[in-house]
Amino acid sequence: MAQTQSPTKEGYAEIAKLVAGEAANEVEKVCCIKTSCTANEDQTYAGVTKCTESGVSMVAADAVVTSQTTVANDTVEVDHVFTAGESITVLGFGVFNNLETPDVLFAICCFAAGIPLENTDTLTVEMKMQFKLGS
Amino acid sequence: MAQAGIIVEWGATHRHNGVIVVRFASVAPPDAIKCVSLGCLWRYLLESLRYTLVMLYHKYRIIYAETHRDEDIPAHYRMGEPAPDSVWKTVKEIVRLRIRR
Repeated sequence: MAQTQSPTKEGYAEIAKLVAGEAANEVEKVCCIKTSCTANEDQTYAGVTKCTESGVSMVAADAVVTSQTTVANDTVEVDHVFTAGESITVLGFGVFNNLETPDVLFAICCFAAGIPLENTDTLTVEMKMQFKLGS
Repeated sequence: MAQAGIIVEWGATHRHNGVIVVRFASVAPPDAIKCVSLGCLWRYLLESLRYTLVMLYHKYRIIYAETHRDEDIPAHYRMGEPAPDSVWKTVKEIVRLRIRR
């Protein structure tokens, strides 16, 4: 299992709709992933197994802000601290849109190994999506 | 890096009773090859090999740190830094981690 990260195709579409002023939802929620995952563009909200356990389930991120990687405000930064409410092994995390029940996965990160969290353990996560010229 | 104009980087830190068990960080894959000379191809192959080994190193480092969460282990296995900076050092660290487990 490799440690990987990727934006997704459904995330591209949501971002394009936001830029065009069409109906879409901004980046807002985060959730840990429960089963072995592979980070690639084809991953979707429906396709990943999201944790439903206390403390690591879908929740609004502590902070969603823009920051600078190369030029001012070229990066969307999502920060959150999960506090496990029970023992669970997490395999990654994803960033989702702002709906009661989200339907778009913007970006996904898969860990190199499962992280066994015990009750009250914390997992501090940070995801940065920088917009720049593609290659 | 070919990521359709969006580069994703991430970090994560696992704490147990407030103490860091292990820290993760994203590893960027090698840039896509952009030239056709043999030297260029060779550099790309080396970069790809190094990337694969570094990923393996982090995998075994994380497993080791999680397995020994309450024990005193070298800080660089928990923090991920400094990471080995050459292919040879990375291979040595992987072997060391596999032996220690």
